[in-house]
Amino acid sequence: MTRSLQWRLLLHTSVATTAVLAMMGFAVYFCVQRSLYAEFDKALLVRARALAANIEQSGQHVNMDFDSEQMAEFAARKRPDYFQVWLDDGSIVSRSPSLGNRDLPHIDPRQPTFVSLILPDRRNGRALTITLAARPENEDEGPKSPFATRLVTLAIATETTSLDETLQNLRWLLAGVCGSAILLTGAVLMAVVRHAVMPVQRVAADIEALKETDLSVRLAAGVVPPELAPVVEKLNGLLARLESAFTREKSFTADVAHELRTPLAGLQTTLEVCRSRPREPAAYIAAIDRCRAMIDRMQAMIESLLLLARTESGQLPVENQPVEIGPFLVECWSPFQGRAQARRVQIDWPAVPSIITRSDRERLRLAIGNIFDNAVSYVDDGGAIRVGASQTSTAIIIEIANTGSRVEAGDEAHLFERFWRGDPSRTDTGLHCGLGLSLCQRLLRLLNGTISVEANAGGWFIARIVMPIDPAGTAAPRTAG
Amino acid sequence: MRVLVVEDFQPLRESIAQGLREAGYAVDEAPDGEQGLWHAKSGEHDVVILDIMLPRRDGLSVLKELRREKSDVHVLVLTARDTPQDKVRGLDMGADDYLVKPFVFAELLARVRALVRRKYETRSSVLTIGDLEVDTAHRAVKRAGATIDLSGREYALLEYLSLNAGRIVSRSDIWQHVYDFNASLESNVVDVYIGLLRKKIERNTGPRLIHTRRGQGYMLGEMTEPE
Repeated sequence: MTRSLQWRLLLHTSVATTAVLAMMGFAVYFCVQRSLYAEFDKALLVRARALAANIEQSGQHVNMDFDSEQMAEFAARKRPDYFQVWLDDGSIVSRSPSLGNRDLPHIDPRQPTFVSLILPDRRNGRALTITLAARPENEDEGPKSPFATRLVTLAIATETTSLDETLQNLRWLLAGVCGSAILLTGAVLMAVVRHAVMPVQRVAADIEALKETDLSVRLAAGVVPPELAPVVEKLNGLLARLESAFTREKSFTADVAHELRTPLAGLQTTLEVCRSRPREPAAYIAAIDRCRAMIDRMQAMIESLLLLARTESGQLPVENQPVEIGPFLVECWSPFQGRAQARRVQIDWPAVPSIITRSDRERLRLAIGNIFDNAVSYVDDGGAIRVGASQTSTAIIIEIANTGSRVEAGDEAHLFERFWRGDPSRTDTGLHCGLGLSLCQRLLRLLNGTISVEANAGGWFIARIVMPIDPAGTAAPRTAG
Repeated sequence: MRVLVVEDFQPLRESIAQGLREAGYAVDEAPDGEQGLWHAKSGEHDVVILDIMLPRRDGLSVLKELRREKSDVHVLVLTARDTPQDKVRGLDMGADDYLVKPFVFAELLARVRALVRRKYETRSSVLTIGDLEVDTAHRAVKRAGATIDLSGREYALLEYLSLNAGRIVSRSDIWQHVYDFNASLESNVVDVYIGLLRKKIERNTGPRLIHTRRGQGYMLGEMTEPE
């Protein structure tokens, strides 16, 4: 749950909103608190100055006239205010009746100083302490007075209960407002987030509904938000590739099954017919030889299939070795020489110009060997095979042709389909099952080359390999794809 | 009975042909669709065993062509394609039976026998003509309860006559349905085999069963009228 996009979005936005609202709440609170205190302090200062007017110096002495009727708040029994006056030598000049014998904190400030404190009667309060010169008793004597003017310190303290109450109310108000704002925002965010992630959920539901049995389904790309469009696009592309791969796989499996079943049926029937009655030893030997030939065919096909599968899945690493085309073709041809002689085939092998390139020798040998094998298998008895190579500025062209083509012109594309067999003579050799050219094509693609055929050019079947020239070996061979 | 085997995989085709010959059938072989169609069009075959994936002309097109030409030959499709759709398509195109490779040869033989019976409109595998019993499934022949041993050729001839019991069959009919084309029709092979068969099934006192119709051929059946 905590990992769900919706919940993460909600959590993060809620935390952020809460932090912002809390910060704003605190800011408002401190501003208000500050200005309230400033007001309060200003009033306190006015009262302090009024009190100070009662402090008089006469000669060396300083005293204070306190009229408890005019300033009843300093004498009240309940919730009184306090003041205390000290002389510069620390002696107490006067204190409010409310103080009794108690003292206010005595400091010696250079400028008016406000402190919050606990009042003697345990209430919260605020005190102002100022230092000022005592006023001479007789104003007229003032500057002529023989005595130096004395400095007195006046402290006045009053309760802050109503201020505290106001601030507390403000705190509650702000907490309430911020709290409900957070809750409200949370609720709104929940709806908004849910709405925002809806396309994601829809796509997720669509993806969840996909079945491996039906890959033809595509996600609707038009209705998703642009942020998701690439995802949907890629996914649709992936589905399309999967579908075609599965279709290929399916038809391939069917083809393999067919190709394996036929020799299997041959084996079974040969063995059953052979076993159905006692026979001469020669008949058994003939049956066994036939079975051997069928097993060879199946084995060759399985080998080709395996190679094809490995080539397609890119399991075979591609080497990059120097290849001299002329001698290399001779090398590839040698295994087929015996069969060609047996069929009285004439080999037409014009001089091949010296061409050196870089390629994977084994892969190339396999591909060219396959074409030679086809040529020797399908050439008519007493026919001809022609091998040639030439070079253009960008490519090497190798041509292998044989007479006696029985493939219809126009069937070229089929020749590269796995298991396509256009030639009835296939069964005469018993070893060709229609995988050769398909395999060649894949091998050459791996080597950046191509193969094309002309099925029937005046009775000639021509296979043409085109390889890029790469004398420096700079172009890295492609991996299978 | 004459069977045509159309199959492109040579070892399989040869083994089927050998097995069928040893079971007393005359067999023709074709390695591709074109040759198969050419043979089948001759109308001499009782059963055609037809592969589907054939070079030059595929089996289904051979079948379609045969049915288009109103051929009523019984066709058994023998193929590696085993999906229900393939079977439905094959049967709908006019195949009489469908067998998937690989198969047990005895089953192929039994299916061929069933198709032969169907062609001659016989339900039972045991044919009875008077006191003669021909068991086509076991290739056993009894007359009045006594077992008669016949060679493969003799049996094939008797089976063909039995399936056509009561009908006159010409020498060329017999030739086409019973023998491979490795001797010429002008020879008197058919008459020789009829003679051999007569000796074996008519040596006892029972009534004659094989009757000669001069200029027409032979007929198997109980006859009261003298020849």
